Amino acid sequence: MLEVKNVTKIYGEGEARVFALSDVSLKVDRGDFKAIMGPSGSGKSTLLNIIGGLDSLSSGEVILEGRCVNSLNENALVDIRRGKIAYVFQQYHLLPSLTALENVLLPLMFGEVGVSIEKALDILRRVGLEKRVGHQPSQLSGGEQQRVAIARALVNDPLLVLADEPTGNMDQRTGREIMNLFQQLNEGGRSIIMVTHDPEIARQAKETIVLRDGQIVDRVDHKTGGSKC
Amino acid sequence: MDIRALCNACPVVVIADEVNNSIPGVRAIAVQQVATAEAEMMGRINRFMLALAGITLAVGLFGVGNTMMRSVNERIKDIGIMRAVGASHNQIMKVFIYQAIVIGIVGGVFGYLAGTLLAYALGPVLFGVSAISPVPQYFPMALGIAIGVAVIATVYPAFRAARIKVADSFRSL
Repeated sequence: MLEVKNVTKIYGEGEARVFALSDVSLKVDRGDFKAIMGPSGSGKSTLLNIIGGLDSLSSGEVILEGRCVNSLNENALVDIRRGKIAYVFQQYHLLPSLTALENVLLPLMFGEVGVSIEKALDILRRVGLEKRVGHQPSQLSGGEQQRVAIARALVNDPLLVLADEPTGNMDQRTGREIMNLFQQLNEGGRSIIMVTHDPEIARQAKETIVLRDGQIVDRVDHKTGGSKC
Repeated sequence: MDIRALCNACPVVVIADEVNNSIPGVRAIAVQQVATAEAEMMGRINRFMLALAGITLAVGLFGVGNTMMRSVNERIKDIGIMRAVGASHNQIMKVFIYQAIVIGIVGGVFGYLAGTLLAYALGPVLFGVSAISPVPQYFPMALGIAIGVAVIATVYPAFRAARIKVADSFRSL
């Protein structure tokens, strides 16, 4: 479904050049659940942004369902964001002036399929927020805000969910609840790529990719428990 | 003294000059001259008012543009979020253009009301005329100009907003 081929991302020029990613390759199949781990500055979030077409790459290719994401024009990238890929961020990134329901409706308002309040309410019900739909983000706890962000990500039925440290701002119990939600999504057939720095969280994925200084230094298959590198 | 002559195409200015020259202590002015002088004065006042309106519009243009630019800068994160969930360039531009239209409508209505009230209150004092009555026909024009100015002032900030990259908007936080 998704193939990342020899991706390199360089910031700066000349002697100030920094390799955020260096020759990174990976494959994601349907129903896959990959965790990307690594220390701060190892290129985890940069890789996620490049996969999702949010950031440009210096060389290499990102191929999603046979289409090269990095060479798509802006309109085609918008189409991908409206249906194929959705994001869940560490900081939730909800619009503060909108209610939970309105935040979930946002992707439908920008999309072409039309606004369906029923659909948004159904997804909010699935993430356990049916009684909080009229609340603004400031009236919700961190865990609840992340649930709204997950509901927003799911409202367009994406093939792939990209999650950047989705439990990073949470205590262990709330983090576990959010991870249970991700597990349910994955069991429902959705592919997930999740950035985390927590080995406990990463173990719940099917595979962990370890990045250091922009390079993949290890891959751990959690079914077999073995390291591939 | 009011001297009248019943004739067409009389050389009234020449006659007034002759009266001035012939009768000491008398100053004769042809009504035509007075009317011309008054018309000239009104023309100057009109041109001055137009210039003032032009300057006001330019200040309004700058003010709305500045406000919208600040709004774009304050909402970089929101713009990034909207882009991340599927908003296109045009949709982001529309968000700001619609905001400008609302500002224009509010500004146009308040501008018309305030202008009419000021004219009503200050007109008699400044120009010594009887109370000025409102001119409803000016309302659509005031509204149209206000909306037009707000939209024109918003084009560049909206264009800038639409070009914000998602990754950059989140990095800037």
